[in-house]
Amino acid sequence: MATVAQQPLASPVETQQGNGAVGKPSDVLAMLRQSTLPAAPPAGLIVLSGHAAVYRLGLCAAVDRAMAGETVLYLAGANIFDPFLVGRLARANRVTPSRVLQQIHVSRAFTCHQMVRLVTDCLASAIQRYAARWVILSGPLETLYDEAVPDQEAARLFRTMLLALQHLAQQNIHILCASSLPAKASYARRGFLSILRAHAHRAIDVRETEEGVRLYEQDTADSKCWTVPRSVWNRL
Amino acid sequence: MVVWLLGEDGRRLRAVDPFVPTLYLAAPPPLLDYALQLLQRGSWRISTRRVERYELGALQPTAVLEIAVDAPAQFSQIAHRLIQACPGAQFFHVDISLPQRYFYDRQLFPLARCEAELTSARLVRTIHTLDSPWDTDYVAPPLTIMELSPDSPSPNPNHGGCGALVVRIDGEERVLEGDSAALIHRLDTLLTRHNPDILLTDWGDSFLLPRLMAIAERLRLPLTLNRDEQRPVGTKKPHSYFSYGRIVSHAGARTLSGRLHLDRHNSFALTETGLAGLIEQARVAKVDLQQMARTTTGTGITSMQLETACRDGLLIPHRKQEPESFRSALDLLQTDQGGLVFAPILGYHEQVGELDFSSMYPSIMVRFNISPETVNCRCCRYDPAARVPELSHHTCRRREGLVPRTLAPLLDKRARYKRLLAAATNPAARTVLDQRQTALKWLLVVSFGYLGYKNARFGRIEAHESVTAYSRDILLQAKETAERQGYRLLHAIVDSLWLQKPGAAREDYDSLARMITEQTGLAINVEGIYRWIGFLPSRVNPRMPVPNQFVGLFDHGGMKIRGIELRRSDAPLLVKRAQAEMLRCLSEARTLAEFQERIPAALKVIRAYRRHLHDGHATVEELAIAKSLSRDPQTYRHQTLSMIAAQELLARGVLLQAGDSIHYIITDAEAPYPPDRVRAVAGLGGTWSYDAAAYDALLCKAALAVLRPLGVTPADLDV
Repeated sequence: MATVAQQPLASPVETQQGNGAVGKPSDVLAMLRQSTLPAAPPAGLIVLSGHAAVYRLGLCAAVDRAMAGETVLYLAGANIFDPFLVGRLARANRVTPSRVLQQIHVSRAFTCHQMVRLVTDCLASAIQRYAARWVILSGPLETLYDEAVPDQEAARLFRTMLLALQHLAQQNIHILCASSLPAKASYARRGFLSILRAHAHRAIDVRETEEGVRLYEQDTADSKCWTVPRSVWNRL
Repeated sequence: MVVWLLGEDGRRLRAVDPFVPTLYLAAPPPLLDYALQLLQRGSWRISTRRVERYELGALQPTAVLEIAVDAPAQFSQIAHRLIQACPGAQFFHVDISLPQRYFYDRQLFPLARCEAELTSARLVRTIHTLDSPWDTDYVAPPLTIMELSPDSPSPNPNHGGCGALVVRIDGEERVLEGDSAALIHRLDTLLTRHNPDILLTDWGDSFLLPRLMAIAERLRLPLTLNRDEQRPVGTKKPHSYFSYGRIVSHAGARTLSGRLHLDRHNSFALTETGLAGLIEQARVAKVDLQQMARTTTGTGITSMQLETACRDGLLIPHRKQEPESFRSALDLLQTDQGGLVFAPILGYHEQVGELDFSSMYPSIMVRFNISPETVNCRCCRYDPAARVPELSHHTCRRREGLVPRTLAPLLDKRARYKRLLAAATNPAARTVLDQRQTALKWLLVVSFGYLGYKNARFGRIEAHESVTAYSRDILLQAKETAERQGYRLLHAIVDSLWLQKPGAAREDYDSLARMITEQTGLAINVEGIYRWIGFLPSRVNPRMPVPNQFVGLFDHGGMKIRGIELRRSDAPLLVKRAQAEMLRCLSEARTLAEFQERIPAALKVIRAYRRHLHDGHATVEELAIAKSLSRDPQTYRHQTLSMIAAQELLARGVLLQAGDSIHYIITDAEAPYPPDRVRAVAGLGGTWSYDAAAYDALLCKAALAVLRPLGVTPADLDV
């Protein structure tokens, strides 16, 4: 498994040591760049999980990469792709929204079968067609929590998707999975997220606190923490 | 398949039709061989053959293994076993209910008038219908109905406060009281004596039948709910699901064999369209009546599409897997826009006409051939006439799609019912016709949503987007046509326009409607001419218009009201009554000048209600607030009034789930101890009081919603 070197934290990101703060919406992208998505990281699978803020963070990451001129593939599983947030972030960074919107290619999956089909059958060809290096999966597990799908089938589909993601991660593709905690999943499916995290090169935990949205990363050597203050988060 | 027949001599016959359903499997050869081995090892009565069939929209056929199941009772078991054992295979036709398959296969439908030939052992030799599901002049068979209701003052007997059992049959009403054994015995006697075809109940699924069956079982007493004694009563657990963005509670089901159980409190179709409407939906959708009563309308429209697919010999996939194609977020932003709305011009207006497109979305699907397989077809991509307005999509101009083929007869039938309704004079006949056309309206309404619904068999988001794109274009055309004729647009929402032109009469609006119909190719009708109509503002910002929130008085004296308390299910009866009475008072005004003159009388109404409230005369029925639980009550984190009432019910042992309705009274909204703030209505006993100030605020809010645009202030409402 590839390891990702942590970038040193710098302003405007507030850390546990308190050496900086996110002061305006455009800073959020810089914070993400420093925390989750460094500009030139090794490829691999990153999992952002926890509070529902992960979806917004995932979209922020997509915008950041798109503004850097990258083509981003965005797979929406939780059906909450918000093009207006893209526009706001682009404007906050003095970039024409349409330019950013054109760089992000979206496909929405409404069922787990569609999501798995997207990942296993469609993603590789889309990566090639759009010459993309970045893939954001927003809510890849959420469709698997559908009670109408039997546990066994959900588990099989999850394994299939995980294998495909691992395979892509080895192909020099940057994959960011944004997944919230299952609100109502059967016992058999509650483990999907921890398995996904265990297979990720980096697993970042997202929590909502009094101060705002916090990103924690625990690895063998160290633990890291970044905060988006509530005042900024609410303006996104 | 067990088929119940009602003979012309009045006999009820149980017959068996040897029906052989099929399922299909596509897989690489080794997996196919494995599946065949598995089938041979099982002790199933099946036959197999290799055939080629088409999937919807496919240019090439798919080679599949057809498995014909001689014993339909084994069908689900076989399908389940194969799906488990061959996850890499594709399955078709595996999860359609067998009664539906039977109806499609035999070209029958529920309550059809049939001619059947039976053997002496009552096996069906031949069966065919003598009428068509598309007939409008059919007569429903003479079914006997027994009604069962709990004698309960509670809005929901599951929440407490239940007494005796009320039984109605042949115009007589009996109240069954006494000990449990006597109750079961008397009910069983009535069932045996009257042998009803339908048990029509209130709370039968969630309350009556489960309790009656449990008592009978405990006391080991016979209770012949089923006419077919070889089968048990069908049971489905309660559950919650999302529908159109809100959570809905389903009370589960108790279904009978040889007899129909319909629960008025667990049936959208029965509530909205009555028994005539339910029968109409079951006939055209070919869904058995007990299921149609309990399922969503979407299941009905899906069944119609499945039948079209089966008739065409198409394969029906087990799970929808085809995802949306990748496209830029800019493209998504431009295409996924929904219907067009022109915000209303706030305030009251005189002499306004409303024009509505008739079944706009389904008509668009039919007229522009919008179906999952016709959108972005390969054959018409360069045909400019096939282009969808504003979008990069196109629709097929060569082959008619599955969805339009399914919807066209439905649109035609509803139009025929509406013509019959316009001509009918007999009130009973009018009621039946209206219930039937309403039933079809609901099927048409959901047909659009099912183009984009995640579990829809024949849904595709691009088709969904194409429909709304056409609707925006058509609404704009209608607006421009009206404006060219000198009309002023006051408001428009998706398929309706409110227009004003000084001196315009009914004939002028009719003429405009004909003009728009001619131009757009979609039928638009004059809904009515308003003497006056008020488009009401947002309660948060009085300068902000709100779509679809208005009160209007038609020239025929009727009123149309949208978006205010009178139309809200969670407003207390007291507030609804006050608002209705106030509007009745205002409806005596024929002009806006007269309307202004009626304001003091309307204020008098509100003041009277406020006095009634503050004098402590309001009753439980007037004060009860109904709320639907948006989540499981155990997961609420805040002390909302609904949550407090739910906690009270839970503490009493009542089972609640997300989507359930609860009823409560505000006792002291500001009480520091949360349980003192509200009381659940069910089982309300002892001494209780209500929070007059909280209800007074609701009353004033309801009055100001209508009167504020006319300059009425809160101070004007003071007693």
